[in-house]
Amino acid sequence: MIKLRNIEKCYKTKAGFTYVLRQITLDIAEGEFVTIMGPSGAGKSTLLGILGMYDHSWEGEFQFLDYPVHRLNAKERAVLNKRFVGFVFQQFHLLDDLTVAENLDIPLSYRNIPKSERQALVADALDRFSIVAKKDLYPSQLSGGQQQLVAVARALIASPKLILADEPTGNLHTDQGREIMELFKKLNREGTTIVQVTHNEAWAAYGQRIIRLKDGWMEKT
Amino acid sequence: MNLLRRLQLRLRATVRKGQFDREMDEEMRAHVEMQAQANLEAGMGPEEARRAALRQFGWVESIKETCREQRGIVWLEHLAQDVRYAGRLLRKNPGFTAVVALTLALGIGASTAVFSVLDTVLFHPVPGPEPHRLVEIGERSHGNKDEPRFGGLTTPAVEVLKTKSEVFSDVVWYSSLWMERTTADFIDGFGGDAVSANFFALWNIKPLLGRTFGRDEAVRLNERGEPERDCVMVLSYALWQSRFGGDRGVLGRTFEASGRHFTVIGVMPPHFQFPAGAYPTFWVPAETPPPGDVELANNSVFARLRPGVTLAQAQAMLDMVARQLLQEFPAIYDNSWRRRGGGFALMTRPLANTFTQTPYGAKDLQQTLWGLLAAIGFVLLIVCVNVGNLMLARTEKRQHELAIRAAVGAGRGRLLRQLLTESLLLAGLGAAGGLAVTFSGMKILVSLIPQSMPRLRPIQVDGHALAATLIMALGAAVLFGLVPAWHASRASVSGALKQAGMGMTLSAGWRRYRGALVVAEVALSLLLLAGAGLMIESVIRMLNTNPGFDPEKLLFVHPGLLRGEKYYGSYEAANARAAALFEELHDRFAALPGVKAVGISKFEFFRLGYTLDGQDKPIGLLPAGTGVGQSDLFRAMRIPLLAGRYFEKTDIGDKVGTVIVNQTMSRLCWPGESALNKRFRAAGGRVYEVVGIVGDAAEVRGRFDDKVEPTFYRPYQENAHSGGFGPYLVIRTQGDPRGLIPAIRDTMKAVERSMTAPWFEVVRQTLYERTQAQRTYMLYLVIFAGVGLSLSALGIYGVLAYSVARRTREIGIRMALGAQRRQVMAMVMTEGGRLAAIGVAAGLVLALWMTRLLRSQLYEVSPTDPAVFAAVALLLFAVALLACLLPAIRATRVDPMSTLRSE
Repeated sequence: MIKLRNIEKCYKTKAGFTYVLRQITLDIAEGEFVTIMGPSGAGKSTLLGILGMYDHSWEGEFQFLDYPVHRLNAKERAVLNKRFVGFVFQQFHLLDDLTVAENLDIPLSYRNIPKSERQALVADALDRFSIVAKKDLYPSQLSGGQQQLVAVARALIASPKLILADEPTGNLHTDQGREIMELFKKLNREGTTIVQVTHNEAWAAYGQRIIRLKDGWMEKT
Repeated sequence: MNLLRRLQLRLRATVRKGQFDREMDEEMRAHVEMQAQANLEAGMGPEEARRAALRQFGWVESIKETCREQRGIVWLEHLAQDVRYAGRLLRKNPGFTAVVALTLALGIGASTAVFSVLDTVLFHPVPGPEPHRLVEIGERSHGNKDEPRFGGLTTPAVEVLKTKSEVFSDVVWYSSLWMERTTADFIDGFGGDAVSANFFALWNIKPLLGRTFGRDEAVRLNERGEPERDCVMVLSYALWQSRFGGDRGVLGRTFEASGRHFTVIGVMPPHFQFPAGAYPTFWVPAETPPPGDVELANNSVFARLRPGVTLAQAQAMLDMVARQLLQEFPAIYDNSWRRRGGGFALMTRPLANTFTQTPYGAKDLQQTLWGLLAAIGFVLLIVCVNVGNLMLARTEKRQHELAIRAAVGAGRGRLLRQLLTESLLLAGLGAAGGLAVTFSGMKILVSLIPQSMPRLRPIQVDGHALAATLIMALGAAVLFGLVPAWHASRASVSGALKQAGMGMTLSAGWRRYRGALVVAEVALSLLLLAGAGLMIESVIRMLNTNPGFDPEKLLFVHPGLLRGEKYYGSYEAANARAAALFEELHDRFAALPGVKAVGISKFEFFRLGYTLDGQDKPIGLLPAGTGVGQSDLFRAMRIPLLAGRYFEKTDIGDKVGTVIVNQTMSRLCWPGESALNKRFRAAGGRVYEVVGIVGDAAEVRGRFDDKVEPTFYRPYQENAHSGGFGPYLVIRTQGDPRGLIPAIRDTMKAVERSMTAPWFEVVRQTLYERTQAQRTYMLYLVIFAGVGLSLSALGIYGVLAYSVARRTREIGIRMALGAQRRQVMAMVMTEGGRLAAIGVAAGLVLALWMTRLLRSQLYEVSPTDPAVFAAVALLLFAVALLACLLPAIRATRVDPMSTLRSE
């Protein structure tokens, strides 16, 4: 599904170039559950941002499904992202002025899905994640775990092929984190490819494979 | 496919979208199944075959999305969604919404109102097609001034002009007409005009009721200027309201006045206030101007130039007519006083100049309106800057939201459309409020227009002004709402999310930009404050100016017009009767309870020429009259006697030449020496000698800044009934002068019924009212300055509040490292104080340059008065610091532990 070849990213500073990622080469098959780990500053979130096609200033080759992402422009990458990727953020990043239902509706609205169909999908998502009772509440009225649950639901509602999760349990209690990880495991069993970033070895164990980064380099296993 | 066809298909797809969606679903499914079957036949497993088919065919949902985008009017659904969301956001932020909407409403409404009034009163006062072809024609008159004034025309001149049809397609004239009706009370007198029968045709204005004159309805006027027989009459709106109660049944009604019967045939609309202004008046049609005294230029004339004829050509023709009249009527046009005025000449000017150059308050109104327009312009600038700042701040705060929306699939266009919808909705609220402010503001401004000012057009909202101010203000709202959004849409989503998650934004540059906007606001506010402060100082000085007499508890009583010499048979008889009447009135008023003193006063309208002893060249002096002894004007008004003596009874009589002069005349005629016993001579040879010098007394009905005329007084009796203003009685009361008015009226009725109703002036009130234009202008400047000040304070508060929110982490770290609360407060106050200080400094420079434009409105105040400037600078700085206080206090309440923990 994903093929990276010699991906590199750097920032130009007064002292020269600072590399965030160096010669990252990896393959991720469809249906895999991969964990990316490493110390702070290793480049984990940066790599996730590149995989999610949010970050455009990098070099190397990136093949996503059959698309040569490295040859696409920002607009084309945004279309790919919209079609195939769901992203779960550490800080949830829900829209504070929208209710839970409206937060779930927004990605569908941006895909020009008709209202009746959107309503059906939102109802389905609310039911699937057992948050029907919370549909009219605002994010500020939810606990951290509930917010992350909504964020995961939002990431999944457009049926992406790939879920990218950047420290999805970083702001949660252990129990809440476990709930989220169990959910990811279930989704993976149903066929969704998941790539997560985490510091936690216990959460990393939910995946099938761990990729370790250090100082921007991929550690050989 | 052409545009119309595409639109038609999209409309159909929108209306029948359910059917189209079902057909699309079936087609998509069929394609995928066909591909899967092909993959199966190629040897793949069922699951693999289906996945490969989906991959090969492309993701179904995204294809559907593309199809939906191509058909239908999806943007309508998005618009509805954006409008709903925008409405919710505005409701959730009522403070922001109210401030922006009110700010816009004030800027749009006030600007449009002022400009609409200006347009009617100054820029385009003449209605109808080709207003530039309408001209006024008059005789050059020097009157009291050195520069020529535009006077009326004599009757022979009017008759000649009516024959000049090669230059004028229409010539109309009017002459004032006074009518009287006997009543149980005083004689009911009311003024109007005798006009040419074609008078109303020139203005292109339809009557409100009935009709105007036909040519055959004109009547001849007698020697006194009154109609020789019964005739028709058109009423002004004000007269119709005041005398006929606005009765729509007035048409055809006949009433008697001055021995004639007048039938009402029409009523003019309320905005037809020409030539008398808003006073009640009437018009009767006459064949020719009054035959009376042919020397007097009492007729006003207007004309329409023929197409192709220029003003210069018309003037050349008038010069020729003037030469013709001089030749034919030398006794009239080459008389002594015309020669003194520079000789007889005719002039013409565009009719529009009549509205802006008449002396009766027009100058004050013009200056007030221009000044208001300038002030409004600055308020509008402050409004735009403030709205821009608020919109910038709000959109900056939403960088996080915009990044999330981009992360979940919103394209740049979608984000911009959403923000544009919000900006337009907010701007629409402001525009609606602006319309309300416009109409209210115009009502208030119309009340500023002096009653005496002529008008031909109704005052309405000027569409161009409204459109211009709407575009300016709404443009500010939209521009400042969209610019940060466009900037955000170009930034990296991941970078934006990361910074937003850390409580930062991408707006270091915008922060400086907002600071610059605040500085601009403060500078403009200081300019307005300086103007307001100067006007306040000026008005205070005006109101406290010593008028040269004691104005407290002082009442002027003006008896109505009395019968003249034509009634009594001779000038002497009329004079004697008037003098006796005033003496009797004096004695009766003096006997009324509550009266402390009664004086008698009279003034000429213009200076006349007198020659001082030992000089050849005449000098202009103003003759005036005073009572003698108990009816002495100076004692009643408490005008100080500086030297010499008051008049005694032996000073009365036209064989006596003793005069009392005022200080201005004394200094003018005999600078550096005493005026006592000095002499001067009238043109007719009468010799005058100064026996007393009194202090200068301001003319109560003049402008506040009128200079005192060089005046000499004689006993009023020698000119009691004709010429000039008065005589009138001056009464010093013990209590409120208004309380005596009924008793005074009754006394006058008992003494002489053959006068029109008297009118009264409470002097303190009159002195106050003559500063109305300046006080009104001051009031508006104070209001505008207050608005500017509030908006500036809001701007500073907004910038600082945002800065504190953005620097919460930094403040937490500083406090964790040992910073005290007062140090944190000082840090925030310094940031705000710096902005305020720069703004105040810039504002002072601006004000020093711009306030000189106020010079003509100021009274005994310099446009750069240092005390005023210092005061407003301090005030603005203090208010700015106050605006900094709340954010500074909030900053001191940051809990370093919880701030750092959240990192």
